[in-house]
Amino acid sequence: MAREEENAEKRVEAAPRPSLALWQLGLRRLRRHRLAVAAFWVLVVLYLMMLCADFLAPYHYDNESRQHSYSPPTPVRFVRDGRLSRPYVYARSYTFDEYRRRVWVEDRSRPVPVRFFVKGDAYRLLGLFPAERHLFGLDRAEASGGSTGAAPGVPARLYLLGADARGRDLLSRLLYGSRVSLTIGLVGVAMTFVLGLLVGGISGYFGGRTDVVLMRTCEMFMMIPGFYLMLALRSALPPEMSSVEVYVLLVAIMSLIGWAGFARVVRGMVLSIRNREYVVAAQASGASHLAIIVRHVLPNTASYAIVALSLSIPGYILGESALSMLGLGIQDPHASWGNLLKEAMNVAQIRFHPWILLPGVCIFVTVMAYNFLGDGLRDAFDPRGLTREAG
Amino acid sequence: MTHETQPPAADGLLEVEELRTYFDIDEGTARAVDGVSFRLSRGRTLGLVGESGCGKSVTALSILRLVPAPPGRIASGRILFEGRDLLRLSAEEMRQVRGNRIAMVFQEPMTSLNPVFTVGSQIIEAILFHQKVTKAEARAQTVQLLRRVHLPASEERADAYPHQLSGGMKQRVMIAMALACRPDLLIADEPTTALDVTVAAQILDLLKELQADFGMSVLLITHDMGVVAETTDEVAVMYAGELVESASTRALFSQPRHPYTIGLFRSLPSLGRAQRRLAAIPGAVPSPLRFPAGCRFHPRCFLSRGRERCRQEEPQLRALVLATAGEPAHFSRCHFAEEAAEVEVEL
Amino acid sequence: MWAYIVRRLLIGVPLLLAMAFVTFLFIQLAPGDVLAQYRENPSIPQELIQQYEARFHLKDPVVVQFGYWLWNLAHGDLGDSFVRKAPVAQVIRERLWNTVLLSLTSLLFTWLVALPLGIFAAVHQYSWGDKVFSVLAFLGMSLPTFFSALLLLYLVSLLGWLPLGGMVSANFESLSFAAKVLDVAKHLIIPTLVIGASAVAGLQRLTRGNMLEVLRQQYIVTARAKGLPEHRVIYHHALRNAINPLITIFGYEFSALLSGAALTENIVSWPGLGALMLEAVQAQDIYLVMGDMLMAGLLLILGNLIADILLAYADPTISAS
Repeated sequence: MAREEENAEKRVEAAPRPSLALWQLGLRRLRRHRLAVAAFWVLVVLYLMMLCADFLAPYHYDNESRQHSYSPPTPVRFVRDGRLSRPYVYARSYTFDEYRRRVWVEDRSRPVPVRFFVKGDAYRLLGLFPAERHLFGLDRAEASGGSTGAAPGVPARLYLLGADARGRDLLSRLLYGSRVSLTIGLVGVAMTFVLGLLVGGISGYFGGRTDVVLMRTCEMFMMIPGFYLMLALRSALPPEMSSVEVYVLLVAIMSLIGWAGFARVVRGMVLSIRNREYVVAAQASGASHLAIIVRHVLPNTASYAIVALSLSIPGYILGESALSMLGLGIQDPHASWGNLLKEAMNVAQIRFHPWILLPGVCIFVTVMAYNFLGDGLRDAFDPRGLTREAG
Repeated sequence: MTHETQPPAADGLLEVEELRTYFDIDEGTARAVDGVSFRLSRGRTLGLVGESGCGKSVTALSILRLVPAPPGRIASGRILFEGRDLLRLSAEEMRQVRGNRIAMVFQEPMTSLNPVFTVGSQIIEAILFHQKVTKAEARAQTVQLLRRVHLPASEERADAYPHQLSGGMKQRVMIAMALACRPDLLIADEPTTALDVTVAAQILDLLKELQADFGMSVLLITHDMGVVAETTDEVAVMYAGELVESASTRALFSQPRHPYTIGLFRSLPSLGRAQRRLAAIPGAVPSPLRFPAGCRFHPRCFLSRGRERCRQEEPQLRALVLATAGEPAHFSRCHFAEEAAEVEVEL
Repeated sequence: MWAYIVRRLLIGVPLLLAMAFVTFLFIQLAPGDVLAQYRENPSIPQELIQQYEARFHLKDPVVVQFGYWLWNLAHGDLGDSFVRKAPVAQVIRERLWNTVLLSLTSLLFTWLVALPLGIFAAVHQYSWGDKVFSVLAFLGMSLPTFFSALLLLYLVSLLGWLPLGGMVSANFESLSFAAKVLDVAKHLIIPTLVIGASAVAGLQRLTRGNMLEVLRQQYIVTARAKGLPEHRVIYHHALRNAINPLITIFGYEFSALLSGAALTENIVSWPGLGALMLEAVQAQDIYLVMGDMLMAGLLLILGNLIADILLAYADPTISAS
């Protein structure tokens, strides 16, 4: 009888399958979420472009040309005299019609070729190495050659996305602006993460008086309308500050508002984990507080933390944009997507120069990408979804 | 192929024929119920036994057509209730059957009642939707019912919220709710599994008492052989979506004729004699996505001993003892059922 | 029940004080004192400055100043707005109702649209409707309010259906009462839509999530097993449970609404507290900033209180404790 049972057991346990770690399972599920994966790649592209902003942008963000104020996007042509040629543009200048509206006139006599790896405004690659080459642009000499057209001496400019009031290239400013807008979320989230984890972890783990006091403080912070608080805090400081100072300040303020919600959730999670059997077992076998926190509590909060943080990044981007748009954030001449929208605050301007709305589109795309990614992460790491739902 | 559990003269209340309920999921099609047939007569109690995952709960849900429609579907079969095929009824007709002619009690009393409404209102609701009575009459009936299930202080309890009641009390409420419209058939899906032993015993007694009073038939689903012995007239044993043995309770317990049933009996700890080890059935229930070839039980079967026939040929359900006037037939799904009958089982 | 309400109110008071103190503290962080820029302005007479100094005890230590501010507060004196040359309390009172009106209509719009859409999406999960609403919800949540405000204004300026901002038309005073109501309503449409759009998105997804969660519960199977019609199962049994978590976050929703309203108010020129706050900040009008902050905090606490009461009413497990 015993031998028969043994044989039966052997037959049944013949092929055990290796099990995956929780995060590997989650990653696999994430890959199935096509939108989240697409969002991830969109973000990768955006960040790569941000890193190469100097190289990709045809002009420096401060490169003005008042003669080209509010120039519409420069049409790039590929056909000349009926034949394909290298891309080129014409110099343009404007005059006013009887309604005081700008009318743009091209100088067709002189095609200015669009060159690649052209020498342009100087910059520092990675902040260290001086460089001059840009991916594409107009050669300075060719652009400013004399003309016999409508306005002699007006250099040609390549505005792929149009120009702002001071004739600065919008594309370039968007690329430089991405540096602020795309990083502020990451920096802010890092600060929130540390603060929230610390406070939430302590509060949840030790409980009692500490817990009550910390949580009441959190609730207070959460209840204050964020925007009002930001304005109030910002107003306490002098309006003229260097852009770097403003950046740091904005991040600090927003983290101050944002950490509370995260801390509360961390605390909730820590509380539930602390009471789970494996933690009690660890305590029973004499493990120290620190060991328990590191080995049991933290790994379980990790997946949630990632989801919560990626979903809160858009808040930082929007906060900075809102403040900058109101003139309380990043100042001219530095660019951020928010302060680029300042000019769009006037509806009349939008009607005449709709391209000034483009920074808003950039913000929208970035925020949406983070939302999709965060949502995908949440679905993928949801522990309930990872166990088989028995139909 | 009808399954005769009773001599043709008696009336069958419920007749399930070749029921197949499948679930379409990412990994494939899970065949939770794969050709189950049985009969239940008026006033009788049929026990449906098996381990978790054998498909007994899904069978019960299928009868009431409560299987979640994607991903589940009733692939084929007939469910004849008082002569009508339930699977052919319209949604409205089915609604009139549920809670009215066929009622169900579930396993988890803690989660079976809506937490935001009083228990009384939930029973009254069942009455009002099936009978043309006034609210006052419905309430009177409700209090009566609660008294009938021995819920103390029934008048006050009717206005209590579920979280104010214990598990046992909640289960009594569930039973009261099920009986509100005097159904002909009560399906009880593991009604005592989530309860303490003493409370469970009380609930079982209550069920027996009510069945006698109301003259209902009961389909009792459980994994507990002890409950089966106490409460049922007939038993059907399920494994991997199929019936592997069915007989009257007395016949099954005195002479099981399937190695799985024998294994179930053997795994019960006995208070009488000394045991060195509990005899568990080795291995685990196969996944409904992929059943073993041949007999579904053979990888875990002590009787099979690796025989060719078990590995290659699926056994059919066959009558080993034919039905007589007082006793249903004794069926077994085993190539070597005669050998199984020889095995000694001490209970 | 009443004890519960009183308790929540009492908790609100220290909260409000704490908020006021924090604001006060930050104001003090500004270099120089509150009157710094006015001292430098030659057109402002010395006597006025000295009056302010005396009135607000600016020469005293911070804590004392706060004490006096609180004292004044208890008497309804929130200080003066330097820019508008009027008492802060008066300025705020003029604007308060506008923000409340906008918040209420946005709230109404959001809930009336998001709840049915959320229920629909949950009941018809994975259908085309659900997928479309999901994408729209994401769009709505990702579209910054200031951007959608600008876009909407742009669209409206092209089509000319609605007024382009402000709260009332130029000829408001001369209109009949009914026409006045209509006029304000027309001006309300754009800001309500802007604030509502992003709020609807979030709430719809939340409702959908909650409904899905609830529809998985055992008591829903019980309800169906009782033979209840499907609409009763969904709108009576499921919805009642799905709403509770939404009520819980009502307080925070309200906070987000107030915040969102501020920026939108500014863009569409809706004369509310948010726009006021902005002007105050840009002009460094300190007491106005503080008063506005306090008002916002008060509105929030009220919102939370209402949410708490609603929840106690809706969830029987709470009032029992």
